[in-house]
Amino acid sequence: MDKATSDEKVMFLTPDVRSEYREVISGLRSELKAAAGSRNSIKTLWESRNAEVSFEVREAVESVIGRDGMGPKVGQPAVDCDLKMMGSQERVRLSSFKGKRPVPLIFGSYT
Amino acid sequence: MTSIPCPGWASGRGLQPVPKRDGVFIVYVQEAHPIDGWQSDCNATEGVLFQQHQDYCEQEAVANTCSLDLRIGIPVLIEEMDNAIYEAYGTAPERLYIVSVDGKMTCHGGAGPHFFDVDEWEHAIETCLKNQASLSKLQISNGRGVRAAWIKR
Repeated sequence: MDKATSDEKVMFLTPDVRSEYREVISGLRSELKAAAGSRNSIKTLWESRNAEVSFEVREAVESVIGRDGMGPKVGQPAVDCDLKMMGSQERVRLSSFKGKRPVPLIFGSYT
Repeated sequence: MTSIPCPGWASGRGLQPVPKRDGVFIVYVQEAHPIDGWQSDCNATEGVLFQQHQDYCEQEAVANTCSLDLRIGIPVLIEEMDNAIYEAYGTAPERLYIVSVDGKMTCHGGAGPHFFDVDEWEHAIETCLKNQASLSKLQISNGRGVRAAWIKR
């Protein structure tokens, strides 16, 4: 699911439905925190709850859960990239650190 | 239209615990809540107002503004406009990972902001560095390569 499609699952919720969605997500997050180490089973946790929620909330929550499962999992090879460093012409290739040191990565944007 | 506050980058909270070390990178990707898309209330309140990047120069310029405003001391890498890395790492809107010395993922952080866990990520970094330190000693003592020793652990 691309970003625009995923965003639409949440951005067009009415205030009441959005409030319900927030409560569900908040509850889910608390349960995950409580079950330390089982973060990768969000989908299982959600399915096991069999929560009685509206169609819109279910769609939005499952969109978030689907996104959570994306990306290379622990033990899988990192997807290589060769990106330019901000403010310089230097480029950094992720695979160049292989055999040398671990690389923590933070993905995000200002907004 | 209102949206869900995104308690991550705009407030800087997601970045505070990040250790200032070499080899830690921020990958700046497309805007999560641009003014021409799903704009969030907190960004409007705080004046963090950017459209989705139209080209690479704009993306780098916004990344630079972000870096200055939030006083980020970590090297920032700029994603290409094809969003290939964004897609490959399931980034939206923010995500933490650690690639171990053998080139495999050793930490797959939850999708931010709902399942964003900085504490877990920081703990994983510390574990990774401790393991690497012990591997360096192992390498010196028996002459084997770090990579081979890491895999054997």
